[in-house]
Amino acid sequence: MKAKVKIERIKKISSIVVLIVILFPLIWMIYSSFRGQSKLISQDIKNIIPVLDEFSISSYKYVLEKGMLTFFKNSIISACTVTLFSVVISCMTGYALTRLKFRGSRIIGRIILFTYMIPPILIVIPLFIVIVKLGLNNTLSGLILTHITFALPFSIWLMRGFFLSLPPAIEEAALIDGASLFGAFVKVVLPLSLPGISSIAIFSFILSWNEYLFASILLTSNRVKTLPIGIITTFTSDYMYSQDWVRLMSAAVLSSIPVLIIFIFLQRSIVSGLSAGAVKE
Amino acid sequence: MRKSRTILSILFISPAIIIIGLIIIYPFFYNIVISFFNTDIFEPANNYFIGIKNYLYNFKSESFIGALVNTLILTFSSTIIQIIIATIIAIMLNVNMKGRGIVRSMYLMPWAIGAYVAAYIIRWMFDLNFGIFNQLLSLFGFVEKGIPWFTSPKLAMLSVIGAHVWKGLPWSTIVILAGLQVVSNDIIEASRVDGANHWQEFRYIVFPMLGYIYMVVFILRVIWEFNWFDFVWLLTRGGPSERTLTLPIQVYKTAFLIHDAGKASAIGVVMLTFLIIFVFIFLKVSSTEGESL
Repeated sequence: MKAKVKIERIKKISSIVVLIVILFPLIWMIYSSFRGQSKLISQDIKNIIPVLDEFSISSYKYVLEKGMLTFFKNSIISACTVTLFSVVISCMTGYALTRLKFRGSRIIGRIILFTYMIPPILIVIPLFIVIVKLGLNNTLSGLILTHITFALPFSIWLMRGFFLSLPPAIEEAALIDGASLFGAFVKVVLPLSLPGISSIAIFSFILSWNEYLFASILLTSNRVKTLPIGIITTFTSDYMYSQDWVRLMSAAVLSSIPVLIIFIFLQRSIVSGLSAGAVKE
Repeated sequence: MRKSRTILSILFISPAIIIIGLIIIYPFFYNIVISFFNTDIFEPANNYFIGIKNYLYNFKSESFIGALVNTLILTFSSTIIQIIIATIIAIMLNVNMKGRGIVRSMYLMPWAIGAYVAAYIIRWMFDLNFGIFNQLLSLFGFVEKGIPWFTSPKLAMLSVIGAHVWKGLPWSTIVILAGLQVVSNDIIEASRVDGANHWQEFRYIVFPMLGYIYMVVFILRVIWEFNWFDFVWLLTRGGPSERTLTLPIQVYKTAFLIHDAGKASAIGVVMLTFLIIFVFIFLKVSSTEGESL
Protein backbone atom coordinates (compact mmCIF):
# COMPACT_ATOMS: atom_id res chain seq x y z
CA MET A 1 0.00 0.00 0.00
CA LYS A 2 2.87 2.37 0.85
CA ALA A 3 4.45 1.72 -2.57
CA LYS A 4 1.20 2.70 -4.22
CA VAL A 5 1.07 6.03 -2.40
CA LYS A 6 4.67 6.66 -3.45
CA ILE A 7 3.88 5.97 -7.10
CA GLU A 8 0.90 8.33 -6.94
CA ARG A 9 3.12 11.07 -5.56
CA ILE A 10 5.75 10.56 -8.28
CA LYS A 11 3.00 10.72 -10.88
CA LYS A 12 1.63 13.97 -9.46
CA ILE A 13 5.01 15.69 -9.34
CA SER A 14 6.03 14.51 -12.79
CA SER A 15 2.73 15.59 -14.31
CA ILE A 16 3.31 19.13 -13.02
CA VAL A 17 6.85 19.11 -14.41
CA VAL A 18 5.59 17.91 -17.80
CA LEU A 19 2.92 20.59 -17.77
CA ILE A 20 5.51 23.31 -17.24
CA VAL A 21 7.74 21.95 -20.02
CA ILE A 22 4.84 21.70 -22.47
CA LEU A 23 3.59 25.17 -21.60
CA PHE A 24 7.01 26.83 -21.57
CA PRO A 25 6.72 28.23 -25.12
CA LEU A 26 3.45 29.94 -24.18
CA ILE A 27 4.94 31.33 -20.96
CA TRP A 28 7.87 32.59 -23.00
CA MET A 29 5.49 34.22 -25.49
CA ILE A 30 3.76 36.16 -22.70
CA TYR A 31 7.04 37.08 -21.01
CA SER A 32 8.63 38.30 -24.28
CA SER A 33 5.61 40.39 -25.16
CA PHE A 34 6.16 42.63 -22.11
CA ARG A 35 9.80 43.41 -22.75
CA GLY A 36 11.49 46.42 -24.30
CA GLN A 37 12.79 45.80 -27.78
CA SER A 38 16.37 46.97 -27.19
CA LYS A 39 16.99 44.66 -24.24
CA LEU A 40 15.60 41.65 -26.08
CA ILE A 41 17.88 42.01 -29.07
CA SER A 42 21.08 42.17 -27.10
CA GLN A 43 23.23 39.08 -27.06
CA ASP A 44 24.25 39.69 -23.49
CA ILE A 45 23.34 36.58 -21.57
CA LYS A 46 22.02 38.54 -18.58
CA ASN A 47 19.12 39.65 -20.71
CA ILE A 48 17.40 36.29 -20.80
CA ILE A 49 16.78 36.41 -17.08
CA PRO A 50 13.47 38.03 -16.15
CA VAL A 51 13.86 41.51 -14.75
CA LEU A 52 10.82 43.43 -13.60
CA ASP A 53 11.93 46.96 -14.38
CA GLU A 54 12.04 46.13 -18.06
CA PHE A 55 8.30 45.63 -18.03
CA SER A 56 6.72 47.57 -20.88
CA ILE A 57 3.38 47.57 -22.64
CA SER A 58 4.51 49.80 -25.50
CA SER A 59 4.39 46.94 -28.00
CA TYR A 60 0.75 46.26 -27.08
CA LYS A 61 -0.08 49.90 -27.74
CA TYR A 62 1.72 49.68 -31.07
CA VAL A 63 -0.11 46.57 -32.33
CA LEU A 64 -3.47 47.90 -31.20
CA GLU A 65 -2.88 51.09 -33.15
CA LYS A 66 -1.75 49.20 -36.25
CA GLY A 67 -4.99 47.39 -37.04
CA MET A 68 -5.22 44.68 -34.35
CA LEU A 69 -8.70 45.90 -33.41
CA THR A 70 -10.01 45.49 -36.96
CA PHE A 71 -8.56 41.98 -37.24
CA PHE A 72 -10.02 41.15 -33.84
CA LYS A 73 -13.46 42.38 -34.85
CA ASN A 74 -13.34 40.39 -38.11
CA SER A 75 -12.26 37.26 -36.28
CA ILE A 76 -15.05 37.63 -33.74
CA ILE A 77 -17.67 38.09 -36.48
CA SER A 78 -16.30 35.16 -38.47
CA ALA A 79 -15.90 32.75 -35.54
CA CYS A 80 -19.33 33.53 -34.01
CA THR A 81 -21.19 33.20 -37.31
CA VAL A 82 -19.38 29.98 -38.13
CA THR A 83 -20.22 28.59 -34.70
CA LEU A 84 -23.91 29.47 -35.00
CA PHE A 85 -24.38 27.97 -38.47
CA SER A 86 -22.23 24.95 -37.80
CA VAL A 87 -24.23 24.08 -34.66
CA VAL A 88 -27.64 24.56 -36.31
CA ILE A 89 -26.77 22.68 -39.51
CA SER A 90 -24.98 19.80 -37.82
CA CYS A 91 -27.82 19.28 -35.32
CA MET A 92 -30.32 19.15 -38.17
CA THR A 93 -28.23 16.88 -40.33
CA GLY A 94 -27.13 14.62 -37.49
CA TYR A 95 -30.76 14.21 -36.45
CA ALA A 96 -31.95 13.50 -40.00
CA LEU A 97 -29.22 10.89 -40.44
CA THR A 98 -29.97 9.02 -37.23
CA ARG A 99 -33.67 9.42 -36.49
CA LEU A 100 -35.48 10.37 -39.67
CA LYS A 101 -34.04 7.38 -41.51
CA PHE A 102 -34.64 7.77 -45.22
CA ARG A 103 -33.36 6.13 -48.37
CA GLY A 104 -29.75 7.06 -48.92
CA SER A 105 -29.13 8.28 -45.35
CA ARG A 106 -26.32 5.74 -44.90
CA ILE A 107 -24.54 6.73 -48.08
CA ILE A 108 -24.88 10.43 -47.28
CA GLY A 109 -23.39 9.80 -43.85
CA ARG A 110 -20.45 7.99 -45.46
CA ILE A 111 -19.87 10.80 -47.98
CA ILE A 112 -19.84 13.39 -45.21
CA LEU A 113 -17.27 11.35 -43.31
CA PHE A 114 -15.19 10.95 -46.47
CA THR A 115 -15.05 14.72 -46.99
CA TYR A 116 -13.20 14.85 -43.67
CA MET A 117 -10.25 13.12 -45.36
CA ILE A 118 -9.97 15.44 -48.36
CA PRO A 119 -6.87 17.63 -47.94
CA PRO A 120 -7.98 21.29 -47.59
CA ILE A 121 -5.06 22.25 -49.84
CA LEU A 122 -6.67 20.16 -52.59
CA ILE A 123 -9.85 22.22 -52.38
CA VAL A 124 -8.12 25.58 -52.28
CA ILE A 125 -7.65 26.08 -56.03
CA PRO A 126 -11.18 25.28 -57.27
CA LEU A 127 -12.71 26.85 -54.16
CA PHE A 128 -10.96 30.09 -55.03
CA ILE A 129 -12.63 29.92 -58.46
CA VAL A 130 -16.06 29.16 -56.92
CA ILE A 131 -15.76 32.01 -54.44
CA VAL A 132 -14.72 34.43 -57.20
CA LYS A 133 -17.71 33.30 -59.31
CA LEU A 134 -20.03 33.95 -56.36
CA GLY A 135 -18.47 37.41 -56.04
CA LEU A 136 -17.37 36.63 -52.48
CA ASN A 137 -13.61 37.00 -52.77
CA ASN A 138 -12.11 39.47 -50.37
CA THR A 139 -15.26 39.41 -48.21
CA LEU A 140 -15.76 37.97 -44.77
CA SER A 141 -18.85 36.09 -46.03
CA GLY A 142 -16.75 34.02 -48.43
CA LEU A 143 -14.41 33.03 -45.63
CA ILE A 144 -17.31 32.29 -43.26
CA LEU A 145 -18.97 30.04 -45.85
CA THR A 146 -15.71 28.12 -46.26
CA HIS A 147 -15.13 27.74 -42.53
CA ILE A 148 -18.68 26.50 -41.92
CA THR A 149 -18.20 23.85 -44.57
CA PHE A 150 -14.92 22.65 -43.10
CA ALA A 151 -16.40 22.54 -39.60
CA LEU A 152 -19.41 20.49 -40.74
CA PRO A 153 -18.04 16.97 -41.43
CA PHE A 154 -16.61 16.57 -37.92
CA SER A 155 -19.54 18.32 -36.23
CA ILE A 156 -22.14 16.23 -38.05
CA TRP A 157 -20.20 13.09 -37.19
CA LEU A 158 -20.09 14.04 -33.51
CA MET A 159 -23.79 14.99 -33.32
CA ARG A 160 -24.75 11.80 -35.15
CA GLY A 161 -22.90 9.81 -32.50
CA PHE A 162 -24.57 11.84 -29.80
CA PHE A 163 -28.11 11.32 -31.14
CA LEU A 164 -27.44 7.61 -31.50
CA SER A 165 -26.66 7.43 -27.79
CA LEU A 166 -30.02 9.00 -26.80
CA PRO A 167 -32.78 6.43 -26.30
CA PRO A 168 -35.52 6.84 -28.98
CA ALA A 169 -38.18 6.22 -26.31
CA ILE A 170 -37.78 9.82 -25.14
CA GLU A 171 -39.08 11.33 -28.37
CA GLU A 172 -41.63 8.59 -28.87
CA ALA A 173 -43.17 9.61 -25.56
CA ALA A 174 -43.30 13.23 -26.71
CA LEU A 175 -44.92 12.20 -29.99
CA ILE A 176 -47.57 10.19 -28.16
CA ASP A 177 -48.24 13.25 -26.02
CA GLY A 178 -49.16 15.07 -29.23
CA ALA A 179 -45.96 16.91 -30.11
CA SER A 180 -45.04 17.26 -33.78
CA LEU A 181 -41.81 15.70 -35.04
CA PHE A 182 -40.18 19.12 -35.20
CA GLY A 183 -41.56 20.03 -31.77
CA ALA A 184 -40.15 16.84 -30.27
CA PHE A 185 -36.77 17.62 -31.83
CA VAL A 186 -36.62 21.18 -30.52
CA LYS A 187 -38.21 20.69 -27.11
CA VAL A 188 -37.03 17.22 -26.13
CA VAL A 189 -33.99 16.11 -28.13
CA LEU A 190 -32.00 19.36 -28.34
CA PRO A 191 -32.02 20.16 -24.59
CA LEU A 192 -30.68 16.67 -23.92
CA SER A 193 -27.93 17.20 -26.48
CA LEU A 194 -26.37 20.27 -24.88
CA PRO A 195 -23.04 18.57 -24.03
CA GLY A 196 -22.58 17.54 -27.65
CA ILE A 197 -23.67 20.96 -28.89
CA SER A 198 -21.17 22.76 -26.67
CA SER A 199 -18.37 20.52 -27.94
CA ILE A 200 -19.07 21.27 -31.58
CA ALA A 201 -19.56 24.96 -30.81
CA ILE A 202 -16.08 25.16 -29.26
CA PHE A 203 -14.60 23.12 -32.08
CA SER A 204 -16.14 25.34 -34.78
CA PHE A 205 -15.18 28.56 -33.00
CA ILE A 206 -11.55 27.53 -32.66
CA LEU A 207 -11.39 26.22 -36.22
CA SER A 208 -12.51 29.57 -37.58
CA TRP A 209 -10.46 31.60 -35.09
CA ASN A 210 -7.18 29.90 -36.00
CA GLU A 211 -7.66 29.18 -39.71
CA TYR A 212 -4.86 30.57 -41.86
CA LEU A 213 -4.81 28.89 -45.30
CA PHE A 214 -8.19 29.96 -46.67
CA ALA A 215 -8.00 33.37 -45.01
CA SER A 216 -4.65 34.00 -46.68
CA ILE A 217 -6.06 33.18 -50.10
CA LEU A 218 -9.52 34.72 -49.88
CA LEU A 219 -8.78 37.94 -47.98
CA THR A 220 -6.53 40.55 -49.54
CA SER A 221 -7.42 43.90 -48.01
CA ASN A 222 -6.65 44.84 -44.42
CA ARG A 223 -10.24 45.90 -43.82
CA VAL A 224 -11.53 42.30 -43.96
CA LYS A 225 -8.53 40.33 -42.68
CA THR A 226 -8.95 38.02 -39.70
CA LEU A 227 -6.30 37.67 -36.98
CA PRO A 228 -4.09 34.91 -38.47
CA ILE A 229 -3.59 36.54 -41.84
CA GLY A 230 -3.75 40.09 -40.48
CA ILE A 231 -1.03 39.47 -37.89
CA ILE A 232 1.22 37.72 -40.37
CA THR A 233 0.97 40.36 -43.07
CA THR A 234 1.28 43.28 -40.66
CA PHE A 235 3.65 42.20 -37.92
CA THR A 236 6.03 39.69 -39.49
CA SER A 237 8.88 40.19 -41.87
CA ASP A 238 10.40 37.71 -44.28
CA TYR A 239 13.86 38.91 -43.39
CA MET A 240 15.21 37.20 -40.33
CA TYR A 241 17.05 40.21 -38.96
CA SER A 242 14.23 42.70 -39.25
CA GLN A 243 11.74 40.58 -37.33
CA ASP A 244 10.24 42.58 -34.45
CA TRP A 245 9.67 39.74 -32.01
CA VAL A 246 8.26 41.76 -29.13
CA ARG A 247 5.47 43.26 -31.22
CA LEU A 248 4.76 39.94 -32.86
CA MET A 249 4.53 38.21 -29.46
CA SER A 250 2.16 40.91 -28.17
CA ALA A 251 -0.10 40.37 -31.18
CA ALA A 252 0.12 36.61 -30.62
CA VAL A 253 -0.86 36.97 -26.95
CA LEU A 254 -3.84 39.20 -27.80
CA SER A 255 -5.06 36.81 -30.48
CA SER A 256 -4.76 33.79 -28.17
CA ILE A 257 -6.70 35.30 -25.25
CA PRO A 258 -10.19 34.18 -26.37
CA VAL A 259 -8.96 30.63 -26.95
CA LEU A 260 -7.32 30.54 -23.52
CA ILE A 261 -10.50 31.86 -21.88
CA ILE A 262 -12.63 29.24 -23.63
CA PHE A 263 -10.27 26.50 -22.53
CA ILE A 264 -10.19 27.55 -18.92
CA PHE A 265 -13.93 28.06 -18.52
CA LEU A 266 -15.28 25.30 -20.70
CA GLN A 267 -12.66 22.65 -20.07
CA ARG A 268 -15.17 19.99 -19.11
CA SER A 269 -17.01 19.99 -22.43
CA ILE A 270 -13.75 20.14 -24.35
CA VAL A 271 -12.29 17.07 -22.74
CA SER A 272 -15.56 15.14 -23.05
CA GLY A 273 -16.01 16.30 -26.65
CA LEU A 274 -12.53 15.16 -27.60
CA SER A 275 -13.15 11.79 -26.06
CA ALA A 276 -16.60 11.43 -27.62
CA GLY A 277 -14.98 11.24 -31.03
CA ALA A 278 -12.66 8.47 -30.04
CA VAL A 279 -14.04 6.45 -27.13
CA LYS A 280 -16.38 3.67 -28.11
CA GLU A 281 -19.71 3.87 -26.33
CA MET B 1 -46.70 10.66 -40.26
CA ARG B 2 -44.37 9.09 -42.82
CA LYS B 3 -44.92 11.98 -45.16
CA SER B 4 -44.03 14.56 -42.53
CA ARG B 5 -40.94 12.51 -41.70
CA THR B 6 -39.82 12.67 -45.33
CA ILE B 7 -40.43 16.40 -45.62
CA LEU B 8 -38.61 17.09 -42.36
CA SER B 9 -35.64 14.98 -43.33
CA ILE B 10 -35.34 16.75 -46.69
CA LEU B 11 -35.53 20.11 -44.93
CA PHE B 12 -33.00 19.06 -42.33
CA ILE B 13 -30.44 17.57 -44.61
CA SER B 14 -30.48 19.95 -47.56
CA PRO B 15 -28.45 22.85 -46.05
CA ALA B 16 -25.56 20.52 -45.29
CA ILE B 17 -25.80 18.83 -48.69
CA ILE B 18 -25.87 22.14 -50.56
CA ILE B 19 -23.01 23.74 -48.70
CA ILE B 20 -20.78 20.65 -48.60
CA GLY B 21 -21.58 20.05 -52.26
CA LEU B 22 -20.70 23.60 -53.23
CA ILE B 23 -17.59 24.06 -51.12
CA ILE B 24 -16.10 20.54 -50.96
CA ILE B 25 -17.60 18.03 -53.40
CA TYR B 26 -17.84 20.27 -56.48
CA PRO B 27 -14.30 21.68 -56.03
CA PHE B 28 -13.10 18.13 -55.42
CA PHE B 29 -14.36 16.86 -58.80
CA TYR B 30 -13.40 20.11 -60.51
CA ASN B 31 -9.93 19.56 -59.12
CA ILE B 32 -9.71 16.04 -60.55
CA VAL B 33 -10.81 17.41 -63.94
CA ILE B 34 -8.30 20.26 -64.08
CA SER B 35 -5.47 17.93 -63.11
CA PHE B 36 -5.77 16.65 -66.73
CA PHE B 37 -5.67 20.16 -68.19
CA ASN B 38 -3.08 22.79 -68.73
CA THR B 39 -4.63 25.29 -66.35
CA ASP B 40 -4.02 28.88 -65.42
CA ILE B 41 -5.98 29.81 -62.33
CA PHE B 42 -6.46 33.43 -63.46
CA GLU B 43 -7.16 32.70 -67.15
CA PRO B 44 -9.58 29.71 -67.20
CA ALA B 45 -10.37 30.40 -70.89
CA ASN B 46 -6.90 29.26 -71.93
CA ASN B 47 -7.23 25.76 -70.45
CA TYR B 48 -6.70 22.78 -72.72
CA PHE B 49 -6.66 19.01 -72.23
CA ILE B 50 -3.23 17.42 -71.88
CA GLY B 51 -4.03 13.95 -70.52
CA ILE B 52 -1.77 12.70 -67.77
CA LYS B 53 1.13 15.03 -68.59
CA ASN B 54 0.74 16.88 -65.27
CA TYR B 55 1.14 13.60 -63.39
CA LEU B 56 4.11 12.52 -65.51
CA TYR B 57 5.73 15.90 -64.99
CA ASN B 58 5.33 15.62 -61.22
CA PHE B 59 6.65 12.09 -60.95
CA LYS B 60 9.72 13.11 -62.96
CA SER B 61 10.32 16.21 -60.83
CA GLU B 62 12.84 15.99 -58.02
CA SER B 63 10.98 18.54 -55.92
CA PHE B 64 7.84 16.42 -55.97
CA ILE B 65 9.61 13.17 -55.06
CA GLY B 66 11.49 15.03 -52.32
CA ALA B 67 8.25 16.52 -51.02
CA LEU B 68 6.59 13.11 -51.02
CA VAL B 69 9.45 11.57 -49.02
CA ASN B 70 9.53 14.55 -46.63
CA THR B 71 5.78 14.36 -46.07
CA LEU B 72 5.91 10.65 -45.30
CA ILE B 73 8.88 11.09 -42.94
CA LEU B 74 7.24 14.04 -41.16
CA THR B 75 3.82 12.40 -40.90
CA PHE B 76 4.87 9.01 -39.60
CA SER B 77 7.76 10.03 -37.37
CA SER B 78 5.85 12.81 -35.66
CA THR B 79 2.76 10.60 -35.23
CA ILE B 80 4.69 7.67 -33.78
CA ILE B 81 6.90 9.75 -31.46
CA GLN B 82 3.83 11.65 -30.34
CA ILE B 83 1.85 8.52 -29.50
CA ILE B 84 4.72 7.04 -27.48
CA ILE B 85 5.26 10.21 -25.42
CA ALA B 86 1.50 10.75 -25.12
CA THR B 87 1.09 7.27 -23.62
CA ILE B 88 3.72 7.94 -20.96
CA ILE B 89 2.19 11.32 -20.08
CA ALA B 90 -1.34 9.90 -20.08
CA ILE B 91 -0.29 7.29 -17.53
CA MET B 92 1.19 10.08 -15.40
CA LEU B 93 -1.90 12.23 -15.66
CA ASN B 94 -4.16 9.31 -14.80
CA VAL B 95 -4.14 10.06 -11.10
CA ASN B 96 -6.58 11.63 -8.70
CA MET B 97 -5.36 15.05 -7.75
CA LYS B 98 -6.72 18.44 -6.88
CA GLY B 99 -7.42 20.64 -9.89
CA ARG B 100 -7.27 17.73 -12.31
CA GLY B 101 -9.62 19.44 -14.76
CA ILE B 102 -7.64 22.65 -14.85
CA VAL B 103 -4.36 20.74 -15.33
CA ARG B 104 -5.87 18.96 -18.31
CA SER B 105 -7.20 22.06 -19.97
CA MET B 106 -3.91 23.90 -19.41
CA TYR B 107 -2.20 20.92 -20.90
CA LEU B 108 -4.32 21.26 -24.07
CA MET B 109 -3.24 24.87 -24.68
CA PRO B 110 -0.48 24.21 -27.25
CA TRP B 111 -3.03 22.29 -29.27
CA ALA B 112 -5.67 25.01 -28.92
CA ILE B 113 -3.64 28.03 -29.99
CA GLY B 114 -3.39 28.77 -33.70
CA ALA B 115 -0.68 27.07 -35.74
CA TYR B 116 0.45 30.53 -36.81
CA VAL B 117 0.96 31.58 -33.19
CA ALA B 118 2.78 28.34 -32.40
CA ALA B 119 5.00 28.63 -35.47
CA TYR B 120 6.18 32.12 -34.57
CA ILE B 121 6.71 31.33 -30.88
CA ILE B 122 8.91 28.43 -31.90
CA ARG B 123 10.80 30.47 -34.46
CA TRP B 124 11.41 33.06 -31.79
CA MET B 125 12.54 30.57 -29.15
CA PHE B 126 14.88 28.86 -31.60
CA ASP B 127 16.12 32.07 -33.22
CA LEU B 128 19.78 31.78 -34.21
CA ASN B 129 21.15 34.64 -32.10
CA PHE B 130 18.49 35.85 -29.70
CA GLY B 131 16.39 32.75 -29.10
CA ILE B 132 16.20 31.56 -25.51
CA PHE B 133 17.19 28.02 -26.47
CA ASN B 134 20.50 28.95 -28.08
CA GLN B 135 21.20 31.46 -25.33
CA LEU B 136 20.70 28.85 -22.64
CA LEU B 137 22.89 26.37 -24.53
CA SER B 138 25.72 28.87 -24.72
CA LEU B 139 25.15 30.03 -21.13
CA PHE B 140 25.85 26.51 -19.93
CA GLY B 141 28.72 26.20 -22.37
CA PHE B 142 27.31 23.50 -24.62
CA VAL B 143 27.87 25.53 -27.77
CA GLU B 144 29.94 28.55 -28.72
CA LYS B 145 27.76 29.83 -31.52
CA GLY B 146 23.98 29.52 -31.86
CA ILE B 147 22.65 26.46 -33.61
CA PRO B 148 20.58 27.25 -36.75
CA TRP B 149 17.71 24.91 -35.81
CA PHE B 150 15.34 25.78 -38.63
CA THR B 151 17.76 27.18 -41.18
CA SER B 152 20.40 24.49 -41.51
CA PRO B 153 19.61 21.79 -44.09
CA LYS B 154 20.71 19.06 -41.69
CA LEU B 155 18.61 20.08 -38.69
CA ALA B 156 15.52 21.65 -40.25
CA MET B 157 13.52 18.44 -40.67
CA LEU B 158 14.32 17.26 -37.12
CA SER B 159 13.28 20.64 -35.72
CA VAL B 160 10.04 20.60 -37.70
CA ILE B 161 9.28 17.09 -36.43
CA GLY B 162 9.94 18.29 -32.88
CA ALA B 163 7.58 21.23 -33.35
CA HIS B 164 4.86 18.96 -34.74
CA VAL B 165 5.22 16.56 -31.82
CA TRP B 166 4.85 19.43 -29.34
CA LYS B 167 1.77 20.86 -31.10
CA GLY B 168 -0.06 17.55 -31.49
CA LEU B 169 0.98 15.89 -28.24
CA PRO B 170 -1.77 17.40 -26.03
CA TRP B 171 -4.58 16.08 -28.20
CA SER B 172 -3.16 12.56 -28.40
CA THR B 173 -2.50 12.52 -24.65
CA ILE B 174 -5.99 13.61 -23.66
CA VAL B 175 -7.66 11.08 -25.96
CA ILE B 176 -5.43 8.22 -24.75
CA LEU B 177 -6.08 9.37 -21.17
CA ALA B 178 -9.83 9.22 -21.81
CA GLY B 179 -9.31 5.66 -22.98
CA LEU B 180 -7.28 4.74 -19.90
CA GLN B 181 -10.02 6.06 -17.65
CA VAL B 182 -12.77 4.11 -19.34
CA VAL B 183 -10.71 0.99 -18.84
CA SER B 184 -9.28 1.61 -15.42
CA ASN B 185 -12.32 2.07 -13.25
CA ASP B 186 -15.37 -0.18 -13.25
CA ILE B 187 -14.43 -2.79 -15.78
CA ILE B 188 -11.19 -3.89 -14.16
CA GLU B 189 -12.88 -4.26 -10.81
CA ALA B 190 -15.63 -6.30 -12.43
CA SER B 191 -13.04 -8.56 -14.04
CA ARG B 192 -11.28 -9.01 -10.69
CA VAL B 193 -14.56 -10.04 -9.14
CA ASP B 194 -14.85 -12.57 -11.95
CA GLY B 195 -11.41 -13.90 -11.03
CA ALA B 196 -9.26 -12.51 -13.85
CA ASN B 197 -5.52 -12.36 -13.21
CA HIS B 198 -3.31 -9.41 -14.23
CA TRP B 199 -2.33 -10.91 -17.55
CA GLN B 200 -5.91 -11.73 -18.51
CA GLU B 201 -6.96 -8.27 -17.41
CA PHE B 202 -4.45 -6.72 -19.79
CA ARG B 203 -4.91 -9.14 -22.64
CA TYR B 204 -8.71 -9.25 -22.73
CA ILE B 205 -9.74 -5.88 -21.31
CA VAL B 206 -7.15 -3.10 -21.41
CA PHE B 207 -5.55 -4.04 -24.70
CA PRO B 208 -8.69 -4.44 -26.84
CA MET B 209 -10.17 -1.19 -25.54
CA LEU B 210 -6.99 0.83 -25.87
CA GLY B 211 -6.33 -0.86 -29.20
CA TYR B 212 -9.37 0.90 -30.58
CA ILE B 213 -8.26 4.24 -29.13
CA TYR B 214 -4.79 3.87 -30.60
CA MET B 215 -6.28 3.06 -33.96
CA VAL B 216 -8.42 6.21 -33.95
CA VAL B 217 -5.55 8.39 -32.70
CA PHE B 218 -3.18 6.96 -35.29
CA ILE B 219 -5.55 7.35 -38.26
CA LEU B 220 -6.68 10.86 -37.35
CA ARG B 221 -3.17 12.08 -36.59
CA VAL B 222 -1.81 10.67 -39.84
CA ILE B 223 -4.59 12.37 -41.82
CA TRP B 224 -4.00 15.69 -40.06
CA GLU B 225 -0.22 15.66 -40.22
CA PHE B 226 -0.30 14.59 -43.86
CA ASN B 227 -2.64 17.43 -44.86
CA TRP B 228 -1.18 20.05 -42.56
CA PHE B 229 -0.13 23.13 -44.48
CA ASP B 230 0.19 26.24 -42.35
CA PHE B 231 2.45 25.03 -39.54
CA VAL B 232 5.37 23.94 -41.75
CA TRP B 233 4.76 26.80 -44.16
CA LEU B 234 5.09 29.39 -41.41
CA LEU B 235 8.00 27.60 -39.72
CA THR B 236 10.28 27.18 -42.73
CA ARG B 237 8.39 27.94 -46.00
CA GLY B 238 9.59 24.48 -47.05
CA GLY B 239 13.22 25.52 -46.85
CA PRO B 240 16.18 25.46 -46.48
CA SER B 241 16.84 24.11 -49.99
CA GLU B 242 13.55 22.19 -49.95
CA ARG B 243 14.59 20.07 -46.96
CA THR B 244 11.21 20.54 -45.28
CA LEU B 245 9.17 20.92 -48.44
CA THR B 246 5.96 18.93 -47.98
CA LEU B 247 3.24 18.05 -50.47
CA PRO B 248 0.74 20.69 -49.25
CA ILE B 249 3.45 23.36 -49.61
CA GLN B 250 4.30 22.06 -53.06
CA VAL B 251 0.61 22.35 -54.05
CA TYR B 252 0.43 25.88 -52.68
CA LYS B 253 3.62 27.02 -54.41
CA THR B 254 2.67 25.45 -57.74
CA ALA B 255 -0.82 26.93 -57.68
CA PHE B 256 -0.26 30.39 -56.26
CA LEU B 257 3.37 31.25 -57.01
CA ILE B 258 3.81 29.52 -60.41
CA HIS B 259 0.08 29.72 -61.26
CA ASP B 260 0.03 26.21 -62.70
CA ALA B 261 -3.24 24.94 -61.20
CA GLY B 262 -3.18 21.77 -63.32
CA LYS B 263 0.09 20.48 -61.90
CA ALA B 264 -0.93 21.57 -58.40
CA SER B 265 -4.22 19.68 -58.66
CA ALA B 266 -2.39 16.59 -59.86
CA ILE B 267 -0.25 16.68 -56.69
CA GLY B 268 -3.43 17.06 -54.63
CA VAL B 269 -4.98 14.02 -56.29
CA VAL B 270 -1.85 11.97 -55.59
CA MET B 271 -2.02 13.07 -51.93
CA LEU B 272 -5.60 11.97 -51.58
CA THR B 273 -4.85 8.65 -53.28
CA PHE B 274 -2.06 8.02 -50.77
CA LEU B 275 -4.36 8.81 -47.86
CA ILE B 276 -7.16 6.59 -49.11
CA ILE B 277 -4.76 3.68 -49.65
CA PHE B 278 -3.28 4.21 -46.18
CA VAL B 279 -6.65 4.33 -44.40
CA PHE B 280 -7.93 1.33 -46.38
CA ILE B 281 -4.88 -0.84 -45.63
CA PHE B 282 -4.80 0.26 -42.02
CA LEU B 283 -8.47 -0.58 -41.46
CA LYS B 284 -8.05 -3.95 -43.23
CA VAL B 285 -5.00 -4.89 -41.16
CA SER B 286 -6.52 -3.81 -37.88
CA SER B 287 -9.84 -5.51 -38.59
CA THR B 288 -8.09 -8.84 -39.21
CA GLU B 289 -6.73 -8.53 -35.69
CA GLY B 290 -10.24 -8.73 -34.35
CA GLU B 291 -11.04 -5.04 -34.19
CA SER B 292 -13.65 -3.27 -36.24
CA LEU B 293 -14.64 0.31 -36.66
